[in-house]
Amino acid sequence: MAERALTSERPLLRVRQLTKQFGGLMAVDHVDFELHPGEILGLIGPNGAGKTTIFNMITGFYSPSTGEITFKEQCIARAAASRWARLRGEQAPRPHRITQQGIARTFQTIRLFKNLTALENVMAGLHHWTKAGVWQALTRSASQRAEEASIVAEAERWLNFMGLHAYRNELAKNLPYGDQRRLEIARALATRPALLTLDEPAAGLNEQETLALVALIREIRDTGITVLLIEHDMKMVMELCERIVVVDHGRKIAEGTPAEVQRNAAVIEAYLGVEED
Amino acid sequence: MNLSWLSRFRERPWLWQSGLILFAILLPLPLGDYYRTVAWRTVLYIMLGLSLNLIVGYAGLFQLGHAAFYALGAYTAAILNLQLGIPLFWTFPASILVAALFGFLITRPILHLRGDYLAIVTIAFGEVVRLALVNNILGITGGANGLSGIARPRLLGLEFRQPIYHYYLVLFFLLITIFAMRRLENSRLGRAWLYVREDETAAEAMGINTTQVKLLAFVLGSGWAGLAGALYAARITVISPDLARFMESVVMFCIVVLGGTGSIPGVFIGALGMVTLPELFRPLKDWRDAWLGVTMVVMMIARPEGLWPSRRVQLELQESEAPHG
Repeated sequence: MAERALTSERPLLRVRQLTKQFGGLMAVDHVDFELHPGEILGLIGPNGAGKTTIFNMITGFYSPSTGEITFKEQCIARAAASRWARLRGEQAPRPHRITQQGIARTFQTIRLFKNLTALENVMAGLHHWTKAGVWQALTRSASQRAEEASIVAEAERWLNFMGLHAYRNELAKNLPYGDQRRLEIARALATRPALLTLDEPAAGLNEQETLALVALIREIRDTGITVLLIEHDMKMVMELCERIVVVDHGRKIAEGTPAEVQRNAAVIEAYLGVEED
Repeated sequence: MNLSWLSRFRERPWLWQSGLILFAILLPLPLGDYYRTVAWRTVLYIMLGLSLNLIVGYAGLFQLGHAAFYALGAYTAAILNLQLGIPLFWTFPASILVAALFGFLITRPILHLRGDYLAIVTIAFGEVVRLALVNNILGITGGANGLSGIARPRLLGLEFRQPIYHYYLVLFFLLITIFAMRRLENSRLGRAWLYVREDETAAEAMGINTTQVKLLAFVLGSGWAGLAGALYAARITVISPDLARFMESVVMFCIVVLGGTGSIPGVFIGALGMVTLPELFRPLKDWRDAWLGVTMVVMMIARPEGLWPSRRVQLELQESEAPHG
């Protein structure tokens, strides 16, 4: 918490002139925004606005066409300098490095390890914090056994935190849908992120489950983790987010508090242009 | 069948494990040299199957050129023995290292390929190795005739001439292999392979360097095949580029798939079906390829997860069906 207060004037994440082109399509067009430590920021927009593309660039799954992303004052994504550099794989996306630097993500369509238990799923998040290799596995040294025990203990802590302990040894695919979403968040938290990015976490949840999720995300934020949220559920976004960035056709059209955004003419137009449910 | 008997075995795995080991030790005693050699071949292919299982079973990567590393191990042992006069047992570490090194060099550039694309490239690399051996590369591989006159290994003044010695030699290494595989399976690295096999994208998002993890499976599996190759050279003393034949790779692949991908007992069953049976029905040996083809087709239709699958692979293949039971 103290750390958060110290760094609050500096953005945790800064997206500058971010652009992604797929052939002739401008999926994301010179988008700028900042994310401050300890806040919950919502990224919204109509279908096909480019939210998920921005998200994939932040988490390292795509590399930007132009522009850059800095995280903790360090550049984590930049457009490839030249075609030659790209050929050599210099800017090949390496999502695991982004995760190791402290940005964890969930997926819009749940991507759990379906045939592994809930516990094993969460243990995946701890992989990069631990280091036993081939030799330690073969000799099963004291340090290796201690490490294994600590992995299990921490994974269990995250299961408890998300209220999933009853499912410890249950296969992920057998969990109810809402709990699968929570398990995905638990797994992301196990990577010990500074920034948690959630891609439509309320998709497919009923109203009650959504409310519980809102409370949970607040709780996560209160442990010092910054949250970036992409969401379709307007009610949830307005309720949860402190600041909202609105994109449409790849461009940022508004930014502000929920109240400000709701009054914004450009936003109203963008949303009335499509059939809203 | 008495059920309490079965459950007693289940609770105390060491009971049937030590029984199995005892059986393996006593097995060759009543047999003649021919059947001892069949037993030796079976154990050798179980080892090869387990080494490939690391790549295909645990990490879920297609490798259809595995025989290349088997051949590299055999050639390394033979060349060191023939050119430098190094006793065969001392060449084993070099065989492992050379095969592992080639595993690294060959697979590093193709790791980003997935599924069938990877399979095609590994077939090509297997052929490249075989042709390099045929073409007497560097003048040390002996061309199409291969190498002969490898000195028999000696241990404590004992010359390994009889088939039974070689049987116990491979059995010893097989036990080490099984021990190592089980430990790898239940480790941080073993889990990482599971994550990659289940969902590579999600594994990457968890901060797992999937490239490194896959590479490690290839390197370890290749090195292990290299050891099997050296054991082959020690027994047969004559080696040829045929060791790297595509058909060899196919047999190894079938051992893994027939028995059950990712499962150690499965590899045993696979080796019995692919190596021992054709050898025992030697008069019908010409039918082996047909047997192989028919078995694989029937298996893929009737039991795609193999005869003795690992619990998890079974789950993966039954994805669309009802929850477990």
